[in-house]
Amino acid sequence: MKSAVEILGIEKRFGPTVAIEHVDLAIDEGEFLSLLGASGCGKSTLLRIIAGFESPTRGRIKIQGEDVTGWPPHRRPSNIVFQRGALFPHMNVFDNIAYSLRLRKWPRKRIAEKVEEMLALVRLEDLGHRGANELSGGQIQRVALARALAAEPRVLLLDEPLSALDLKLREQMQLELRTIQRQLGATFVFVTHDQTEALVMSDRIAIMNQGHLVQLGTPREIYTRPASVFASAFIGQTNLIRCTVAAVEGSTVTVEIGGQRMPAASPASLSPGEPATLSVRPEAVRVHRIGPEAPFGIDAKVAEIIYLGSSIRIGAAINGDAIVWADLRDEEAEGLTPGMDVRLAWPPTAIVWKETSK
Amino acid sequence: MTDLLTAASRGSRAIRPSGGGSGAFRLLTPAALYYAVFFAIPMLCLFVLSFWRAQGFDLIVDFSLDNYWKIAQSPVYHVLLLRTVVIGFITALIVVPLAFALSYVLHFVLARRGQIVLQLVLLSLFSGYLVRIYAWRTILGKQGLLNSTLMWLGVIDSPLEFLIYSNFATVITLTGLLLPLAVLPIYSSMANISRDHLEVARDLGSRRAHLVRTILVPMALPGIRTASAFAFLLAAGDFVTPSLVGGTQGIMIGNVIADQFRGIGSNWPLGGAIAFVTMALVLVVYFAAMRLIRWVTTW
Amino acid sequence: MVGRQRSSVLAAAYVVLVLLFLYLPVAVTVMFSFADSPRLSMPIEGLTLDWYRRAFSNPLMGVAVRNSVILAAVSAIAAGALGAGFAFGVIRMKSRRLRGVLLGASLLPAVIPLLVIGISLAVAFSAIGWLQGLRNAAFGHVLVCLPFVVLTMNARLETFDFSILEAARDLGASPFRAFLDITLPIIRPSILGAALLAAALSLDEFVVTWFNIGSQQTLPVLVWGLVRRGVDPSINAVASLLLFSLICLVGISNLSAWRRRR
Repeated sequence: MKSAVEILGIEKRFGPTVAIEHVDLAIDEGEFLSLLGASGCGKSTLLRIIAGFESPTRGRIKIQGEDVTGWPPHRRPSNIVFQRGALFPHMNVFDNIAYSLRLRKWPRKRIAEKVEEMLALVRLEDLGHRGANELSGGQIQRVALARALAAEPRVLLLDEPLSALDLKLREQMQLELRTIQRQLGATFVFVTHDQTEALVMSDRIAIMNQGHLVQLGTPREIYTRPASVFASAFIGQTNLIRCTVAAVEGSTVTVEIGGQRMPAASPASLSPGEPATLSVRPEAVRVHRIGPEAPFGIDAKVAEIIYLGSSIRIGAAINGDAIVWADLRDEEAEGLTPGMDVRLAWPPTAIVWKETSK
Repeated sequence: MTDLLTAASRGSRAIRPSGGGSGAFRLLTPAALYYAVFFAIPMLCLFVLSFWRAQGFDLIVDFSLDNYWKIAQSPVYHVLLLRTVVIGFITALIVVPLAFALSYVLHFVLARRGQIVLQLVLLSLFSGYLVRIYAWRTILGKQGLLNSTLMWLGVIDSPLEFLIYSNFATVITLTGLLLPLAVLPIYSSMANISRDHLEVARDLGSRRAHLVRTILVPMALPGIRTASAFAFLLAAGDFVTPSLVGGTQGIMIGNVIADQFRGIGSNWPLGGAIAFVTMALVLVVYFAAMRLIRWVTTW
Repeated sequence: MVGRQRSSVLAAAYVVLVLLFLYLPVAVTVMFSFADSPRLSMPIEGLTLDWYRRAFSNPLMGVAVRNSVILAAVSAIAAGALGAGFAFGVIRMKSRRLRGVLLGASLLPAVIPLLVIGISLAVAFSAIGWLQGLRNAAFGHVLVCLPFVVLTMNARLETFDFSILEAARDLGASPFRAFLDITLPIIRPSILGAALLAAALSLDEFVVTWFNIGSQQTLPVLVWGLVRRGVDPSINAVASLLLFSLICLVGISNLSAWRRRR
């Protein structure tokens, strides 16, 4: 498949600080790709390098095969939606959306048609003559989106466009954005620090950490097969339990947690006696009452019970120390009380990571 | 005008572009050059000139300390310098607390309504410099507004003589001129203090006087510093006020400097030397006073 | 509760006293410009426009007004443009420290006594052989106005969202085009406000003018001359006219700021 954007060996330094450390990434035509990471991880800088607001210290950017490195932003076939919309405050909605078209000297009639089309796309048909200062937060981002799309970009860049909105509106806009992207078949590169947002919207997610591209994959791949402790902790919630490697048989590893043993999977080669970290998601942990029918597992004591609405979260202490969280359905949690002895079990797909220095 | 105010107060909230520092330099170069050519270089010229000599109408290029020596030896200058520093200091001592109290009231007591009052206070900055000084002469004069009103009301029989052509008149007039200018920075720095700070302190058992000394003054210190500089430096450097309301016994060093430049028998080099001696003296006193405030308000 | 009420009454009283103190001179000037008797004392017996007539019959008045207007216009344009550029440049600086230093330095002329600025300019101009006059005074006026323009512009630019410039660039505007289409329309009212403030400062400037204008007149120089010659009630008339124009300028300046915030 042809690439919409190719990021080739991009590196960015601000003086002595490294913002991006050698990132290679090819974004497919018609793909919704999210750049996900905590603030300061370099994701926004990478987006701004694609847009042309920053020049990379090293590396090249290609858009649809054309090398645009060094092109000024106004020559690039990409357009951006800013975090706070960045609407021109002295223009109304129509003029905002028409701005790029007027610069291209489109005939008046064609501009009017295009703006109407864009307004319909973002469902703001009647707001063309509204001032930019008279819009709500959601409307601002819709106009910003319409304005960027009106320029008919070959790739649309979105810099945390929903982060200023409240949760309800954000969730609604996530779906709308996704629908618009499908409808147009356009390439979207979406920067976010919100992992749920990335999971909901993306075809693929690129996780960044401290200027590095940590993992690239579909939401499912990233959630079920994180490539590192960082990725597993960053996407969704997970228990990180310190343990020791007891035995290794092929890709299956037996680990020891507080004197008790459990099997687990390991992507890295581990040797017996090595300290390691076990990562298991709360929804994978089962809590059983101690008894003859209790399956093989690790004994623990219920320490906390937290009501979450759709589920109940149980915190269980192993040897009165490490707390393992488990998300249970209402009926599964029935009868559990703090101080109760329980047995924790999880599928052997839980992953063990090498204990790294950090 | 409120903008003058917000300027010093908040940290900038502008959303800055991440790139483009060179564009910034290009924009501020013209003004920077203007400052250099019409502020820095003239000051340097004046400084150099203060080491020259004047002979009749001619200036003699020289490097001599004659002018400074003359100032050091002549008791007339000592008296004038002392009077200038004392009047400037007293003015600042009146202006800064008044401005502090006013800022406090406007910010903490009147809150939103304080904004309107603030506008009025700042507007008075534009009510005419000479006009205001002259008006004070009208007000304080022997047969002026105050005396004639008091006599008309029968409070006094003969006009109060000390009101006009005295150091008292100078200080009052300077206070009127400089008060709005001092409110500007103090209010700005106080605007950063929220009621919460005060309430937390009170909650922790701070008494009122203690509160002012340990919370308010230290937090508003940058503003107090600027206001004191405005009040003290500008009061000490004013020559119009003493010449209009100070009387013959009330002239200040500024009058002497001015006379060296626009008077009979003018002597520019000497005038320059007096100006620099005065500024140096004022700065020394200013920094000593700031040290004192720092020392009093820390514990 | 009672204590609180009493303290707010005290506060209000204090505010009223301060405002009285600040505006008494203004009131007195305007009042006596209409007062019948040439002696400036109470009580006022009748009203007259004689002092205005007398002020306008002063042969120097016309020249003074003309020069004052020229200086105010020059200050507004030059200080407005220079100060706006400076403030715009400073706000785009990334380093907080550097911004503080530049702003602080630009305010220096506001803290140095005008007397010292005036004489230093006089010395510098005479060193390059420029005779005293309107031109020298104009350069002085621009310098005196600059700090206030910078302060005002800086405050108004604080809320400027530079990402809209990036948005314009992103949508295909060259840097110059983005300046014309976006920056200029947005900051125009601010620059106008700052320029009017400069005009007001210039109109009222006396000290720097006095040392650099030679034998020329401006309104404040005229007032000074009248004041030096003795008590002449037409001073109040000239002063009232000056006050009126100052208030107009500052009023319009504030209005432009208010319209921007609307």
